[in-house]
Amino acid sequence: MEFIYSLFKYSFLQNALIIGIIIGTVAGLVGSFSILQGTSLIGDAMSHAVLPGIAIAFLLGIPLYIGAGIFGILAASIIALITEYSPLKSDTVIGLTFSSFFALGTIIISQGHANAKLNDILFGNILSVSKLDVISSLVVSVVIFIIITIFYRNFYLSTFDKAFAKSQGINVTFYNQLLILMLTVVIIIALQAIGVILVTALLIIPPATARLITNKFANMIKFSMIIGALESVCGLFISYSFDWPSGPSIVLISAILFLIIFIFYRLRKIL
Amino acid sequence: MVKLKINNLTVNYGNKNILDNISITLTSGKIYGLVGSNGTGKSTFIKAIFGINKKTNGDIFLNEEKINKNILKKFFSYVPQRSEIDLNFPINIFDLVLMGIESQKKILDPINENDKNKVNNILEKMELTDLRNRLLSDVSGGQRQRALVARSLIQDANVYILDEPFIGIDDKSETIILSLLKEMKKKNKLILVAHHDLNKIERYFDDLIVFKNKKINEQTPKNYVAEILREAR
Repeated sequence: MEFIYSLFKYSFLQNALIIGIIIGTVAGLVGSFSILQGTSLIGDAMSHAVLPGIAIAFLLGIPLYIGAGIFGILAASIIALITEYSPLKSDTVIGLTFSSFFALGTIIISQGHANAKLNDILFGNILSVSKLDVISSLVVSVVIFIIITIFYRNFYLSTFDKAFAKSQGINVTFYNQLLILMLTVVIIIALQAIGVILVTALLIIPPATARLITNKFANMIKFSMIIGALESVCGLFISYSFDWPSGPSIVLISAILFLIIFIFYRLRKIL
Repeated sequence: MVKLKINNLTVNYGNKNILDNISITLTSGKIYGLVGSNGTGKSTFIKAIFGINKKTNGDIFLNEEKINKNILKKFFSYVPQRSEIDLNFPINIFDLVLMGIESQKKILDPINENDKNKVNNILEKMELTDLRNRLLSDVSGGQRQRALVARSLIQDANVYILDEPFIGIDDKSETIILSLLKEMKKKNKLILVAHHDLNKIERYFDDLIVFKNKKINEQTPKNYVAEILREAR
């Protein structure tokens, strides 16, 4: 009850609730495609790679997503370059790049005497979200939603059967890269609320849970979006009530729900 | 009549040459077998036609018109190898076959009753009606192959190209697929089927394209089987 009372009283809590719903929904949408394509760990790498950008942006007092965006693109370019010009496999290059970037980010934070902020950056502080953050997240999410709705069939075909999609004249590489771009954008808008370390969970756990509930792709996306939004709200409630960090609260709630659904899924198979 | 002309096709993967300057003209009303042992470039040939893998050199014409994305989409239909399909994807047999129609629709053009009826019709021909709501991962290899062939045959194409549809499937699935391909042949379609097993070649195909040493040549099934048997001795 206290949560609901506070919700009416404090605008920061309203902002937190709205952004929770927005990022839960959009991450559930984009994540549904990426877990089936097997690209979810690219999101994980990306979220770590943007840390130096966030640190620099924080020290300069500019919006965090600008720094995150620049370093996200930089990391992706380095990954593409080294993969192209070396015999190494892309997972090796991804691991190498994101850990180096993450190390650099941590050093910048410690040298910039921003250690107090480090915790927020790593684990998120949904209560520090401003009205501007809410509006920009909403705009970005609506754009992503429109793109996926219009080109749904092309994303769907490119995800399920690349060879068939190509034979039908669909530019599979373009749609896959567009998806990774959207994945990165979602990570950047969710960083402040969930934190660098756990942001990928939002892109993985709700779609994974939805996959266990339904055998129809279109329904999986819908469930994933609903589950993502609900888990963000529940996580925020727990975070506020028990004074736990917001990112881990949301992820823990998501993991518990996944576990419950998994048990039911197995029981249904066995019985 | 449909004529598919391949002119001086060369495909390299990196430094490795897979197909070397091959040319052939194929005409409709026939089922062609693309034969040859594994790794001789049958799938490479198919993927080069569809632009799935880039060709290094050469041109492909359909009725004297150089093929491009639009011609491929409108007049060609493809059945990929069954092993390339992701079985963990949440999709049932009905939706898989429907994909054949969806992929040819304009963006945002919805699926209508007529489309659904078409799917139901072909499912019936393929004897898959009872399995229409079953997940792709929950049916047998032969049933899955029938669904993949149905996804292609539902498209109103002129050229149908199938990659190894007869490998590892049951007799019933084989008979059903073959009879439907023969039905398409009667409608004067051009059908190409990659196949690496010598078995039943004479039953399946009217004519063969034999892949050997980066080159191809046309042969009748009877002569090819006789030649292979002679080599074996």
